[in-house]
Parts: sequence; structure tokens; C-alpha cells
Amino acid sequence: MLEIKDFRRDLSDFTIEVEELSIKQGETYALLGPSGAGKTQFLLSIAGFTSLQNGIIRVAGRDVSQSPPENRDISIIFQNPSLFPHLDVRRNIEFGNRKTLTPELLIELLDLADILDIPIRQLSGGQTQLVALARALTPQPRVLLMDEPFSALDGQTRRLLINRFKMVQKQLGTTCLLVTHNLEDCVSLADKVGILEKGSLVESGNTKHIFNSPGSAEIASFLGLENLFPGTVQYETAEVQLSFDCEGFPATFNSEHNILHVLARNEGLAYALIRPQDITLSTAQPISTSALNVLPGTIVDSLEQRSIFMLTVDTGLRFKVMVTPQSFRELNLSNQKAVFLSFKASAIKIYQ
Amino acid sequence: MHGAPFLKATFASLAVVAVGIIGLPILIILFSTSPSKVYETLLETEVLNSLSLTFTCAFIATLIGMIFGTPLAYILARYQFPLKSFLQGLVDLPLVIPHPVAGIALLLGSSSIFGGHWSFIGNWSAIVTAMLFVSFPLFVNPLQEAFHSIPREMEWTSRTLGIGPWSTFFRVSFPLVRRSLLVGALMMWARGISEFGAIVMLTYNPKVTSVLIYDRFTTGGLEEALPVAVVLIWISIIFFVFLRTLQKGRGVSAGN
Repeated sequence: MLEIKDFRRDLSDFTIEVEELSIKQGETYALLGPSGAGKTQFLLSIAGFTSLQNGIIRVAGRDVSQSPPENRDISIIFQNPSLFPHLDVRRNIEFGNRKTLTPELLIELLDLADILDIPIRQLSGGQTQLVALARALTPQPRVLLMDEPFSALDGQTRRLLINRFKMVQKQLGTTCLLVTHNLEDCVSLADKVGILEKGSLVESGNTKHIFNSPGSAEIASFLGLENLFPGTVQYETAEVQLSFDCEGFPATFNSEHNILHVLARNEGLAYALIRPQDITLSTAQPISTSALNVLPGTIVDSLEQRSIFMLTVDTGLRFKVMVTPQSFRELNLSNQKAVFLSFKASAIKIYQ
Repeated sequence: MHGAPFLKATFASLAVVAVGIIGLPILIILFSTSPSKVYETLLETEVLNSLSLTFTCAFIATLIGMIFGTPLAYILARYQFPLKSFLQGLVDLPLVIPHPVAGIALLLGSSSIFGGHWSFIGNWSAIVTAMLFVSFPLFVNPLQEAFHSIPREMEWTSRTLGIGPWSTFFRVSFPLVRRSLLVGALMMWARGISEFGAIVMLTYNPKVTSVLIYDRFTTGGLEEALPVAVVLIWISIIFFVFLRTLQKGRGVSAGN
């Protein structure tokens, strides 16, 4: 539905270059990236507000690269919802010229009937963003661009809005390109994820895949993935060992099986990533286990997060470990309790 | 101001001084002539003609200022281009140069542009030009600020909803600056009415009210000049109170 090819736009200090990006009808693609990576500028170029140095943008097969914004069949929602303050809610929703959807349908779908007569300045943050969403969807655009649309909202309102948005998107089949730096938005909404760094799309693919196997340590860190430890890769004769230059952590990950998973080819700084769900926790030292990495430690923190306990275990390095409430009770876990962590060598991903 | 009596009292005292500086001389002028004398003066053809000329010329200058000043304010608020600071300074210039100098500049400018084909002397267009020149920044500056305060996202959103750039300007940007536009126009008009220096350098006749007051002062003294001044002040007060009331009543502050 939205296809971008050989996109190039020069900014003052770097160039946004996207070789290929394709989003199918009804799909949501989340674009992540640090501040100043060019995400918003990328959206503005797709919407037609800035000219490209090169590239083709196609909406439903039609090349819109040279079309003005009003003829692109693309709507946009900003973090600042930019409702027109001189118009009431209804006239905001009915503002667009191409009213292919009756506003009444959106008013019903987004449950806006009760606020139609409220002056714009009296709307809450969530209501404002819902009205902006209804206004953007009234022309039934083929593509909806969203620039951090939920970032100014509190958690509960955010979830409510995301749920309503998903419902409406499913009903209308709108293709969506979302810029965000909130991982929750990303996981809840996106079918695909891309990461933009200094104008380059350094990673792009299925959301689950990207989160399970990020392509680099920077991306893993950016995605907020836990248990990412810096260390150094050292070649010692025939065997590769990974030693961590972290104070208080006495040993290297001593499994030669790690070699199997070492992607690093050069000596020097590297990162090891062990996902919290891949670590097994026990109160006694495991004796016969296939996991060769066994580390003693102490629980220093436990936090209940949506039917799961996230423990922080100090082994010299601080590991995040996930356990179910059932395990938490049965193992009688608590802060300061001595425990053992074990994980398979194959669970360690090394990035350099 | 709750719980800050000292601050309130200090500010109020200083404000009273400020109001006194403006209000006292005006009050003294207003009550220095008998109402019957003011009434007689108001019926004089020369006074009526000069009042009508002054208000009409100020109105025409304001209209011209609005037509050319609105796009200029928008451009200055929205776009970056070479020599923008220079242009901005140029717009502000009439605020700082002495108005007789402005009059001389306009006189020289018109003769070099139009040569002998057209002259400012004895022409009401000279009055409009002088008024326009000196009051233009009072319209452009607040309007530029107002355009600047509209988030770009608002105009961008309108465009993606299928609205072209012209319609977006008239349906989004323009309504949101309506209040500043009216206030700016009012200020421009008022400044035009009060102008003397630039007008008198361009043309003495036909006489606008400020020139008439000066003329009567130099020929007949304060006694002759004062009633005309009082008439001008009363009419200005009535106009301003009326326009401010109208402005509030119509709720032009929408969006601000």
C-alpha cells in the first residue's frame, strides 16, 4: 500500500536514506529511533511537505512523489494534535474535503458523541487525540502517518486510545506508519518495526523477530532489552572466551560452547545479551543441567509486572530474571535470598 | 494577587502615575474649552472637511496596509530566506526615524519614481502615503507574531485533509489571527489620524486635522487651536470605545 524506494533527503547535518520500505494494506509499521534520527522529517517528506533529492513514494501503486500533500491520500497525526481552536469538535471532524466516510461512523466508532459540543480547549488530552484521529480518518486516507501520537498521554489513556485505534484501523483497513520511541506502543500496534539512526534504516523487519534478535548491541540497548553487558572478546589460543570488565564479576562466561554463538570476529569491545526469560533461577546449585553457565547471586529487587515477577539478581553483574508468580511463591523468593542463575550458552547473543 | 498586598499597592501606585502622565494633559485639554465653543467649532465647514479627510485617509491607508501587510507578515513569520533580518529591520524603520525625515524620503522617492508626471503637492494621496508609511509597522509586527504562534502542524494537518494552500490560509491561519489583525488595523488607523510630521512635509493642503490645529495655532494662537484639538480628541475617544466594544461583542478572540 505504501512503498518507498531509493528515498534520499538531505538535512543540514545528515541525509535520510531509505533504500526500500513497504507497508501492506492494514499493516502498522513502527519507526523507532533516538531523537534527531530524522524520523519526523521522514514522515513530513512522505506527506509531501518537504521535497526529496531522490526517490519514489507510492500509495496504492500511484506515484505521489511529486503530488502536493492534499492529493496524496495520506493523513497525518502529530504529537500535538493541532485541533483547530476556532472550530468545535464536529466541525473539526468534518473539516476535510474528501469526506468518503461519514463523520457519524467515526463519531460512533470512537465514542465521541458526548463531546461534540464541548469547546476544543476543554477537551482532555485523550479526547483531543481521539478527535484528531477521527478528523484524520474522515477522508478515509489509504495511509495514516502518526508522529508520537500517544506520547503526551498517561498510561491508562494511552492503552484506551491504542485499543480504540486498533479497532478502527481493523475496520477501515488503514495502512499506518507510526513514529514512536515507546516500546509499548510499538509492541501493541506494530506488525513491523524499523529503526532509524542518523537517517539510515539500520534494522527493519517483523516486530517479534527484531525484539528477539536485534541486529546490534546499540539496537538491543535502544529497544530497552535487559541484561546487555559490555565486555571484551579475547581469543585465547583455540578457544574464545568472553570476559567482562565489570568490577566484582570474577570470571568470564566460561563455556566454550559460547563459541557456537559468538558472532564477533574481532577482539575488543562486545556486548552480551541474555534475555530475562531465558534465565533459569533456582535456590540450590543445579547439579545435572544442560546449562553450562551457572552463577551464584542474591536477589536485590523484585517487581510484579502484569502477572510476572521481574527480579534483579546481583551476581557481580545485575541480571534481570523473569519468574512466574507461582515460582515466586513455591521457591519462597524474597529480597536478599541467595539464588543460582543458569542459562544455556545458546541463550547468549554477542554483539560487536 | 492574593496574599501580596505590598506588591499590589506598589504596582497600583506606579500604574496611577502612568495613567496620570497620559490622562492629565488630555483631561486638561478636554475641559479647557467650553462645550458651546466645541459645538460651534464642530459645525465649521473647514473643521468638518479636515476631520472627514483625516478619517478617510487613515481608513484608506489602513486598507492598503492590510492588503499588502498581511502577506508580508505571513512571509516573515513562516519562511526563512536571505536578507530576512534586513527586511525585518526595514519594516521597523518608520518607528525610529523622525517623521519629517520620513516625509522628505517620500517626497524624494515620489519625484524620482514618477518624475514630473505626478506630484504629491496638494493631493490627498500624499496624506494616505504618509499615513501608510509611518503606521505600517504597527500592523505588520503584531500580525507577524500572531502568524508565528500558529503551530505549523495545524496548517500541515489541513493540507493532508485535502485542503489546498489558499483554502488552508483562509480557513485555518486567517481566522486564528483575526484578533491581532483587527487590533493591528485599529492601531494603524489611529496612528494615521495622529500623524503630522510626515504629512506636513509632503503637503500642507488639503489640511488634515493635525495640520489644521497647527495652522490655527500659528495664525490665531492657542485659543483658535484648542477647540479643534478637543473635537479631534472627543471623536477619537468615541470611535475607540465603540470599536473596542464591537470587538468584544463579536468575540473575535476565538482561538486566542
